[in-house]
Amino acid sequence: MMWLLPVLVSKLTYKPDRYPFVYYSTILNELAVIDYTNKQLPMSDKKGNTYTTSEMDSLLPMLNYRQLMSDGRLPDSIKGQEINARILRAKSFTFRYDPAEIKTPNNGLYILFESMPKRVGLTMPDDVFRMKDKIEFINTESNKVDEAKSQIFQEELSKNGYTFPSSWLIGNPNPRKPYDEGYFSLDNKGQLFHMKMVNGRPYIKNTGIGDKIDIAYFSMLEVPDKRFYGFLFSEQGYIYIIQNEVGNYQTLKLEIPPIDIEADQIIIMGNLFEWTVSITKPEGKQCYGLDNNSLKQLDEHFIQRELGKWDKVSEWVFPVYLTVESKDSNYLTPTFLYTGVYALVLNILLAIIGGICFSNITKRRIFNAIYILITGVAGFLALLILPKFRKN
Amino acid sequence: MFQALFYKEWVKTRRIIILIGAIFAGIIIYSFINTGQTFRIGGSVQAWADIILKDAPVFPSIIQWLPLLTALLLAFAQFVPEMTNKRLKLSLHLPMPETKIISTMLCYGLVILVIIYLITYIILITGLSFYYPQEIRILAFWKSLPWFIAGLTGYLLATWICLEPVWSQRIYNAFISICILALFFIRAQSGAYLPLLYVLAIIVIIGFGLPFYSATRFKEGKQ
Repeated sequence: MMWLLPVLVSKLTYKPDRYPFVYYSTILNELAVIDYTNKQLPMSDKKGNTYTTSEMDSLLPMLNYRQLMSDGRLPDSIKGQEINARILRAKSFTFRYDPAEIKTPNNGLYILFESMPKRVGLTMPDDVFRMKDKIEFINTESNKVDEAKSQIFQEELSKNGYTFPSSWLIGNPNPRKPYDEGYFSLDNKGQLFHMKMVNGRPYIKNTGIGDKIDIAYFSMLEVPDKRFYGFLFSEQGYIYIIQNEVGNYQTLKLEIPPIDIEADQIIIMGNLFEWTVSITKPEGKQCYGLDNNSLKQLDEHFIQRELGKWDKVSEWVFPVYLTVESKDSNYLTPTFLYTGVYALVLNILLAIIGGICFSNITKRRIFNAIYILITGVAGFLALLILPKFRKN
Repeated sequence: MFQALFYKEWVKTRRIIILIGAIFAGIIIYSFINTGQTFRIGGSVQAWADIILKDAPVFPSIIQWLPLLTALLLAFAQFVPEMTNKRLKLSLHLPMPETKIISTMLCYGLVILVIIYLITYIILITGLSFYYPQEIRILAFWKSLPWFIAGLTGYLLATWICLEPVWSQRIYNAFISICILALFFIRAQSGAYLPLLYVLAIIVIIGFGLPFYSATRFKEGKQ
């Protein structure tokens, strides 16, 4: 019951944190805060000025270019650069990262697309592959290993120095994307390899990044202008992009302080001029504006997290409670969470009541009292409904 | 003495066990038909991709509830006749320690359930090996394991409720049982239960002790 009661109470009171939306204003050259629920003056800047919706559209052209276009207000150029809808679309992307991505069960099977298909668009291949101690392609129809194809890939991997067993493979096995760049895989020695299938033949290359950076994780993103492959996370918590140049894998670091890969949610919105990086930490939302070309920091802004109803309720009612599900992880792990001392007051009260009412024997009374002190409301209810212990 | 006890339990429950066996057989056949249909309609590539990318279920959804329901059926078939007219008194007057009697009755039920579950598992996993690779079969195993453990736990908890002599206490017990069983049916990804399995095992072990408690209360003639 220590698990179920908090679950039920949280269902009554929990509301996910809502942070205002933050985006870097190209015109103001700083981060702006947008509250979409405020219809008159949705946008405010760091100095405290507020702006109307139409002013906001003009000040955030990269975000609202469709609105500006339909109003006929889209300028021909900003900061000396020509802009039109096509250029803006090609340069815009949104990247999301959630800690549950790494704390999730992995089924061990992957799908490798043809990177240079003859026809436009990606087609699902008719096999999947596994790659733990060696690579094996399994045909879905026959449920058997395709020895020939597996052999070719295995040789290519060994030739390029891949050390099995592999640590992880990251790609995007979803056919609904503009193009495919295969998988990035970390081998047993911390080297990052790029693997894809080109015209049916394997393409394997050691990116060499493993020598310079302690790689923790990689997340792939297919951006329209093919500028980079995705985002690399180092053990120290820094984020890099792996730039897409033929035969070369240069990294470029985002100029932001280290993040906690196990607790922080990250959203990066990029456009032709700047990137807006929003990191949701347990204590609040930290936002940065970065220059698009150099990824140097231009601005930063922090929004403190407000305590929701669930936090306030749980602080008073449950000093310690048991959870199994977590928003940070796709695993179910039993964890005891400690909320604070306020609820101990409630526990002490219940312990006194419980100690007096539930039994006549002094020793049992003390036992009951201590039991309720530790387990709180759950223990109180449990003692209420459990059958009486046998006397003597 | 054990043989006689087992025979008594068998006579009580043999029809129910045959019924349970038939239900499981039916579900196994349905699973295979379902899988064959998925492959025929969407194609093998689609079926595999759905499981790998979207964690689509490998077994039909009815398998989630089947172990629990059949376990409850068995528990009621075994113990409701004991409790009508307080016939448990007769069983407890046999020339054996009371804990041994109840242990034997519980073990009988658990062994029957484990045998049925194992046979079902083996047939399903072997059959699926035609359609799916090892990784997917392992996924299906981990996903359905909590449900089968829930079956064993449900059997023990149902016995606990049946043996309890006081009706109002039975309702409280039922409430607690539902709370405990809720832990086994959380909707989560395949393989997510891995860190929790030892907790589930502990729950089964504790559950084994609960019916003794009710039987003691029965013996004392609680009202």
